[in-house]
Formats: sequence, structure tokens, C-alpha cells
Amino acid sequence: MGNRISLCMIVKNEESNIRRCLASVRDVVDEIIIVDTGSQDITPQIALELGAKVYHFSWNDSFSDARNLSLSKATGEWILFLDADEELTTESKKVLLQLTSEENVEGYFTRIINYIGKDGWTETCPDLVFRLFRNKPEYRFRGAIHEQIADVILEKNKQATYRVAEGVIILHYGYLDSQIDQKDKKKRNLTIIQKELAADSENNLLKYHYGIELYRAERYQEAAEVLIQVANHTDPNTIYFAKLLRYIVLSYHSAGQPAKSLEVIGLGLQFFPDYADLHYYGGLNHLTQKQYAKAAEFFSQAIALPEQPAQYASFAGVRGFRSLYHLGEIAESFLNYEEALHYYLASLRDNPNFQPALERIIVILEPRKNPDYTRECLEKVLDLGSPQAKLILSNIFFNQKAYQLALEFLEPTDGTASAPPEILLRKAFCLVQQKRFLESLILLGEFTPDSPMYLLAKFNELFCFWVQGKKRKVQVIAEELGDLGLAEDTDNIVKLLLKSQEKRKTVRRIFLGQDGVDLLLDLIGRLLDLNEPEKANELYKRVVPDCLVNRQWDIIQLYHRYGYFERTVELLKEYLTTNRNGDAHFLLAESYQELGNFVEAEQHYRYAIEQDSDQPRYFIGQIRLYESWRRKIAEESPAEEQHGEEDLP
Amino acid sequence: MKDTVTLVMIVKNESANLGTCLASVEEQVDEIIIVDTGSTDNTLEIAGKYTDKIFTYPWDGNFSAARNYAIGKAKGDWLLSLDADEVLLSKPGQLKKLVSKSKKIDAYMLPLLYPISEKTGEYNQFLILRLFRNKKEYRFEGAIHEQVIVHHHEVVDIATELMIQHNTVSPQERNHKRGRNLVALKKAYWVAPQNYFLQYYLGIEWLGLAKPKLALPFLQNAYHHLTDDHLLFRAPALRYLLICLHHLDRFDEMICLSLEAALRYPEYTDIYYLGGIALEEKKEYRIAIKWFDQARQCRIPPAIYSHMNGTGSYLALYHMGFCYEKLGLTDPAKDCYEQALQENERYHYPAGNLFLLLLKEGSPRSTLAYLQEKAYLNNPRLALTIANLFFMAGYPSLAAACLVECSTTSEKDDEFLFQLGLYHIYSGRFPGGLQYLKQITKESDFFTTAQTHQAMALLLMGRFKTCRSLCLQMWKNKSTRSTAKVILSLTRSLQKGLDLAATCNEMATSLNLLNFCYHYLPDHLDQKSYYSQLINILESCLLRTTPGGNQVLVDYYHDKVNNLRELFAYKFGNGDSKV
Repeated sequence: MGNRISLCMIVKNEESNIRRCLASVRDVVDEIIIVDTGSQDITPQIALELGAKVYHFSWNDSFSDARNLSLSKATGEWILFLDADEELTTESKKVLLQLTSEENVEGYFTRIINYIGKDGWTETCPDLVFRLFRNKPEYRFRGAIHEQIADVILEKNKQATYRVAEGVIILHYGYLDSQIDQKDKKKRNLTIIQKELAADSENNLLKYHYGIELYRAERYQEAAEVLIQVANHTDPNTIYFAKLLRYIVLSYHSAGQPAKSLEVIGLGLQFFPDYADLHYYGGLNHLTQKQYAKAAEFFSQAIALPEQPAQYASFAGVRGFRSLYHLGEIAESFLNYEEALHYYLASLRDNPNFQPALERIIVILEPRKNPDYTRECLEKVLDLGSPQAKLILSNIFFNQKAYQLALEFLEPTDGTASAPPEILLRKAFCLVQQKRFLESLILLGEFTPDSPMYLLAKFNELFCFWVQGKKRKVQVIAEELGDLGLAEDTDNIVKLLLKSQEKRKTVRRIFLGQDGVDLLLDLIGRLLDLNEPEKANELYKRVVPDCLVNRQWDIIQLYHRYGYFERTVELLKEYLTTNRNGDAHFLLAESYQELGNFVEAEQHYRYAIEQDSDQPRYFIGQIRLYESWRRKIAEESPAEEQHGEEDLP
Repeated sequence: MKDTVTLVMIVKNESANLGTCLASVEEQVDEIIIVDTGSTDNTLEIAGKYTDKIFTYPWDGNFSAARNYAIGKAKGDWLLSLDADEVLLSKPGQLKKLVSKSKKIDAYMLPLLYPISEKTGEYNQFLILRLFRNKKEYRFEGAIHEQVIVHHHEVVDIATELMIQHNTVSPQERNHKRGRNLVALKKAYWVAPQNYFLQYYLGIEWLGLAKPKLALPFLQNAYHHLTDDHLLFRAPALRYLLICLHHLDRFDEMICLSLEAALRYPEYTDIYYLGGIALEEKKEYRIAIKWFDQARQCRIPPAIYSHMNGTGSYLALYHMGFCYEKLGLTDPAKDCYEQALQENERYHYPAGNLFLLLLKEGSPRSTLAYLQEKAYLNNPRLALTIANLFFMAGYPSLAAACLVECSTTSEKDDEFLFQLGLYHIYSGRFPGGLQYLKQITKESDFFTTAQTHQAMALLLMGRFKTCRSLCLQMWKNKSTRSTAKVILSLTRSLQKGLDLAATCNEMATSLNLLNFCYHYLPDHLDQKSYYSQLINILESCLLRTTPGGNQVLVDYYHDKVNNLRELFAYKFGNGDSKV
């Protein structure tokens, strides 16, 4: 028996993918059969160019018919089936040749790695598919979509045996958001499958795929219901049973029914106790229910599990960075930052590209307060050398208002000339916050009126002078900005800055729209960062209070973040007269504690818990208060009674 | 007249009870015979209002002799024997109807309800022979635990339409009686060591006196040697034997005995309940739940079995709930607690567990909303229990809310007024709170505590003058003197700012007051009060002028931390996160 391989594909408008695909099978397959189902681009030409035999098929809503046309043209002893948005890994080639010389196998399941998510933010999701089988005329695809052939072969040949082709890996890019949007794949699939189900309502496998399509179309509740029906009619030994359970779990979870999801997880774990994904989603569900201890238990179990068998199609990271990340989150909600850091670092070590973990690490390190320490810590775990890494870090630092570090990570290793304008502007921004006004002004001066960022640059220039109290300069720039024609809100902010320079007692307050308030909050934040609370108050006072009502909470957080606790208390007391919620009471309690007013702090922790007692941090805040209180009293004790204090925890 | 009934009683110093007893039965009987064995109070006077057939019998330590003397005076066809601390529960004419029902029957066993706690509505139920034909051969036997002996079973029947309800007995009184009984029983036992009825009674008395080790051999003998002919004794012997083993922590034996007995007496509710208790103790919660469920299915066993009420309903449910909770199944646990509350509103313990479960799942507010929705707060007893839980957890305004709803419907006893006042004050609603507390009269047990809280309210409000005059009143009473002293010095300190000239070295009182202060959480955030100052002064008092005060305070906050940690661990589970 020979072992020639025919690659079969069906394609439509795949000009951007097909080269990659065909290049990956060069030197492996002996012929390439391509059935085009109506491309309007140059897909067929590229295929011909790369040595394929191209056939045309007029589309009839059946993928199977199209695929079977390609099978009928194949002359090799083996068929390898790929989609244009897939490719074969280089390592697969050798293995493939070995596999096709096996005598007693009719077909192979191969691993497929699905790339999902956004561009530049991809994640992988491995799975198992049936793509390599003997070429026999009776082996033909069935089903309009999610076309199946494995079961057909078994029907035709009861003795047929399958194996898992461990070394063969297909990479699939079709689930990337960009590709899905492009093709409107979800909707197309759903319509076709519904038609098919109408004709064949008892087909369990078809229903399974229908459920999955419903899930992909974000119709979670329906998906869960359909998939539950499927599960009730599926033998647990079926190869996709584990995956089916996971989809049910996911559907309920996404449909906002954590209790039901957990129920299915409980059942699922009886069949597959070592299925990491079930543990992982168990953790997520408990987390939605704010059952922190149980959630932590599930995530820890997920981490402890061994390598997952292929048919579990285990989602990348459930045994690693994902579960670790959530454990970090849980520790954080218990205000245990040390432990949180430990988990986030472990998460990042498992997947250095997992940005959420990096972000949390940086937040915990408090880069604004401890720039040197933060840098030191990050150097230990990350390679900070690459420009890309630097940019990412700089962004995070900037968002954390750690302007010194943001600036450092923006400094290019070579000359500044090539920096894009966004970077220049950001640098100027950071320099102002570092009170390096002159350097900032030099950078800002480089923007010419034809730059799309000219306006922003000018505005920053104005702010830079305003902070320094250079009234004349501010006046001049304001006029220039006025000539450029500003949006109403920006114009109002400029007016606000101008007016605040005049030391008049009575002022007419300025009304700001949405954008104006955003800008104002930004400025208040920058002023507090510059340790200019009076200037911030000046601005705040000159705005009509009504337009700040909805942003009061943000303003309070700004003052709290920068350590102006007295002002925070003042604002919070006012805020609480109209908005009573746990977070506000908690923040007030924390601020009082900072100010050493334990009595008030104690009451507000109790108010916070009365409002919402699902927040561990409220309780922890209160516990810590009592601890500080006890310590304070112990310290006030007369000296002779101090011994014995040592053994207090 | 046919089938007349004579009530026969022996009494001694029963002025407190006799009236109620006689009133309950007066209309049902044709004749009342009262034999006094030496009263020194006005028992005879009370008896005289109901009958002129009063005799005296010199007490000779023999109950049977006295009773038989009374029987000798009776003219009725039937005899009903009651004690003064019992009442007959029956409808008019029911007793007469019963005795004229059958010619063949000579004696009826009646259920005796013996309360365990008035407050929670728990009671034991026994059958007891108290109604029998006035025939010569039916006489009391036994110097103590005297009983009428009817030798032919076929002439004895059970009547459950009438019941005898025993008064609640205070623990002191009960123990006194037990001691007296024991002396007599021990004597009798020396004479007749093979009398297993005596052994049964000995076992019960020892058990009642919290000496399970001594009780055990007697109960074992009684259970093993009494036959089903004496099921009336064998059944309670079995029940008390199980209870005795429970007290001795001999759970395995309890389980074995329950298994064996359940085969023999499959209708006997109490066995399943007590077996469930043993399994619960062994942490076999799943099996325990099955046993409790079995108890529930049996409900009330046939009257012949001595039965503790509730073992087939609310008690079993309460324990089932507990087992479910231990298994982490909170929903069924909640259901069980709620059903238990429905089956006996007075048995309030499940409310505490339910409260904690709700608080664990939600917030104090959502807990209150839930309890309101389920109408638990309409029951004053439950409302008080739940309100107290809220208050202890630090939410006085929610505690007040529990009572406010229910206060419109029920009459207010002093406990209700007290709590209502308390919660009003600590949620900053001073005038209302003072109003409620003022209504509590001097005679009430709550009077002095109410005074203290009134004084605290006046302090918080800054009404120092009124506070002082209240304190002067409290000074006159010895039991409130130290409190008055501390509050007076607090008043002085508050008026003069943080001047610590005021010395108070009443450590316990100061700490107590500080603790009260920490319950203060006003509804309105802008409520003006001297709260902060009060805490500061109390603290400085303890710190500076009270010897050892600092250590006490350190311990006090240490305890607060520990309590909160415990609550935290309960609410969020231990996880692997440390605070």
C-alpha cells in the first residue's frame, strides 16, 4: 500500500490566508485539491500558482457536498483535510509521514490549537479534530456544517481503528475576533445548522454543534438548554463528552447562573475528576457568588492537576496563569497584598505575555510612591530590554500616575528624533508632573500647527505655565487657543484656568459638560500629584456643583489616592448625605483611621458592613482598626507594665 | 345519677397552685375530696371555695396511704386523681362522656404533659393511670411514685382526648423533690432489689440530678428486665437510657441501642431522634439526616410510648438543619430551620442559626428583609430573639426595625419595651427610646438596666442635668450605685471637656459602659451626640485612673479582634488567605 497524501480543502475568499496554509504543507503532501465555493478575490489564482488543482463548486449551503467533491478528486491513499485559515506546524511533517505508513489505522485525531481573542491579545485553546484518514470512496462527509466523517467511516467499516496523532499539530486562526467579524461566521453557521436540524431533529451530534454555535453567538441560556438535552442522550464514553460538559458549564456561567453551572461541574467531576477546566470554572462561579474560600479551593485544585489529556481540549492557562491570577485577585480582596503578589508573579512566570497579572503587580507595588523599588522588583521577573515591553510598562505606569517611571521607560536608548508625536506628548505630560517644566516646554515647542496633536500640545503648554503661576504666558496661549477654535468644553476649561488666576472673591461659576468634567478631573488629579491641593480646590470651587454630582465619587477617590485625608473626609461626609453605600463608608473609615480618629472610623466600618457585608475588606479594615487600637493602648501603658507585650501577635 | 366522678387529691402547702387546678376540673366532676397532709398556708381556705369535703391526714411519709385514705372518702363511681400542680385539659362534658363510654373498661390512662421549658414550648409526654372505677381492688401502691395497679390489661384503655398538664417546675423545686424522692426510693430499693419499676425511677431521679453515671445501671436494668407487658415503663426506660448514654458521650452504644430498638418499636419516634443525635455527635451527618427524617415521618408515636414532644417535628428539623449546615448545604439547612420555626414558634433556637446563615449569604439588611418577608417578625418572641441578634451584631437600627413592626399588634410586656427602648437609643432615636424605657416599672426585672441605658442616652444627648438627677436616684439603690457613680463622673468630665479630675475606679462598670457605647450606630449620619467624647473619656478613665485598666482595655480590643476574626472565618471560610 502506498502512503501518498492528498491535501483537500474548500475555500472562499481566502487570499489573505491561503499562502500560509499551503506553504506549511509543502514537501509533505503529494497533491493539493482545492474546491473553490465562489471566491471573488484571487484565492484560486494563488492556489494554482502554488501547484494546487483547483475545482469550482456552486454553493448549495452544504459544506459536506463541497468537501466530498474535493475527496472525489483526490488520488492519494490518505486525505489530509485543512481549512485555509489553518496551518501545519513544521514539527508535524515528519510525524505525518510516519503515521501514514501505519497499517491498521483508518484515521487519526490530531491536535488543533485555536487562536482566539483580539489581535495582539491572543490566547490559545487546544482541541482535537479528525483530519487525517484513508482515502476510500465510501468515506464521505455528512452534515451541512460541522461536517463529520469519523462516524461515517465507523459505520462503513466496523473494524476501523483510530488513534490520536500526538505529534501533528494544526494551528487555527479562524476564531480570532478579526477573522470572525470578517466572516460573520457565527450567524452564517447558525442559520445553516438550524435548517439542517429542522430536517433531522433527532441528530444528537448536530444538536451538539448547534448548542456550541448558540454559545458562540452569545445566546447562552439557549445554548445551555440545548446542550443539556444533548448530554442526556450522549454516552459518557464519547470522545467529546468532556468538552460537552465544559460548554454547558460555560453557558450557564455566561448566562449568569453560577448555581446551575456549579451543579453541572459537580456532576462533571464525577466523570472527570482531573478535568482542570471544570475546577477552573468552578472557581469562577464561586467567585461570582462571592464565596471566596471555595473559589480559592477550586483554583488551587486546578493548578495541582497533571497535564490534561487531548480530549479534554483544556483551555490554556487553567492549570497555570489564569487560576493563579484569580488566586491573586482573591488575596487582594482580602487585602493580603503579599500573597496576591506571589500569585500574580507566578501567573506572569507561567505566561510572560499575560498582561492583567503584570498590571496588578504594578498596582500593588505602588510605583508612584516607590519608583525605585518597583523597578527593582520588575527587573527581577521581567526582561525589560525590548522596546515593546518598555512601552507596555510605560503605559501601565502612566495609568498608575507613576510619571517618573512612565518617563523613564519612554526614554529611548538612542536619539529622540524618531519618536512619534503621541510619545512626545506623553513625555511632556510626565515632565510637567515631575516639575521639569523647561524640558517639557521644549518638547511641546516641537509641535507645529499642522500636527494633529498641536491643540493638545498647546493646552499642555498652557497648563505648564498656569502651574508656575505665569499669568501673562497663560493669557497669550489662551488667546492663541481661542483663535484655533476650541470645543465648547475645552474652551470653558481654558476660561476656568484664566479666571482662577484672578484673585476675585466672588466669581460666577462655570458650567461644564461631560468632556469638560473629564478634563477638569484630569487636571485636579495632576494638581494633587503636583502637591498643589489649593490650586485644585481653586478650580473645583469655580465649577457649578451640579455638573460634578455624578463624578463626586471619582473626585473623592482622587483626594484619597493622593493622601489628602481631611479633604476626603469632608467630601465623603457630604457625599454620604445623598449616597449611602458600603464603599463610601469604608473609604471614610479608612480616611478617619489614617487621621487617627479611631472612634469615627469604627462606626463607619460598621456602617459599611451594614450596607454590604460581602466585602471581606470591610471586615479586615475593622479588624485592623481594633488591632491598631489595641497597640496604641499597649504603647500608652506605663513603662513597668510593658513587659509581656512581646508575645502579643 | 350514673357514672359520677370524684376528684381525689392530697395536698400540702399548695396555695399557689390549687386554685388553678380546681378551676380546671370543677365543672367536670361531681365531687371533690381533698386530703391535707399538714398545710401551714391558706391551702384549706382556697379548697373551701370549691368543696366542703376536706379531710386531714397526718403525714407518715407514705403517699399511697394518704391517697388511699382520700379514696376511702369518695362516693363517685369513678375516681380522678390529680396533683395540685396539674390541670386537666378537657372540653366541658368530655370527662363524663369518657367514663360512660364503655362498661367493660375499668381504668383509663391519660397523657401527662410535663413541660421542659415554658418559653420554648418543649415538653415530655407520658401515659399515666389517673382515672379508674371506684372499686375496692383498685388502690394506690408504693410509698413513692405511687401508682394504681390494675392487674387485668383488658379493662385498661388509653384516652387521649383528655390530658393532664403539669405546671412548669423551677429547677430548685424540681431538685428538692428529686432529693426527697431519692431518699424514699433508696429505702424501697433495699427492701426490693428486684423491683425494676423502682430501678427505673431511681435511674430517672439520678439522671434528673445530672448524675448519668449513677443512673446508667438502673436504667439498663429497667430496660432489660421489664417486658413489653410493661411497655408503659419499658419505653421511657429505653428513652432515658439513650439520653443517659448521650450524657456519658457513649455514642456508639447509643447507636447500637437505637438500631436494635428501632427494629422492635418501629413507630417509636424518639428512638430515631435520639439515634440521629448520636450520629450527629459522631459527625455522620448524612446518616443522621436520614434518622431525623425517619423521626419526622413517625411524628407523634402511639400514646403508649413515652414521648418528648418535638422529636418528630421541630427538634428533628432543627438538628437536620444543623447537619445540612455542617455538610455545607445551606439551602436545605435554611429550609429545615424555617420549617422548625413554623412547627413551633416558641422554640426559637432555629432562628439564631437561620439568622447566621442569612447573614453569611447576604448583608444585615437583606437578612432583615428576608425575615420580614417570611413574617417571622410578627411573632413577638421570635422578633425579640432576632432583634437581639441584630443588636449583638452591631446594628441597633435593624434591631429596632424587627420590633417596630410587631409592636403595633402585640401588647407590650416589659421585655419588649426594654428592648425597643434600647434599640431606639443605640440607633440615635433618643426621645423615643427614653419614652419606652420610662414605661418600665420598678417591679420589673429590667428596671435597673433600663435606668442605666436611660442615663447613657441622656449622656449621649448632652442632657447632663437630667442625667445627674437620674443618677442620684440610682445611687439610692445599692445594686445600681457603682453604675451611678461612674456615670456621674462621666457627666462631670463631659461638661468640663476632657478634664480627668473625675476619678472612677469602677473597672467592671466602666468597661461595661464602654461596651454599651460600642453598640451605638445612629441612623442619621449627622446625628449630634457626645459619642466620641464619651468613648475617649471612658478610655482615659480606664487607662489613667484605674489600676490595671490598660491591660483590661488591651484585652478588650484583643477580644474584639478575635470575635471579628471568628465571624470573618465563618462568613468567608478560612480559605488559605490570612488576614
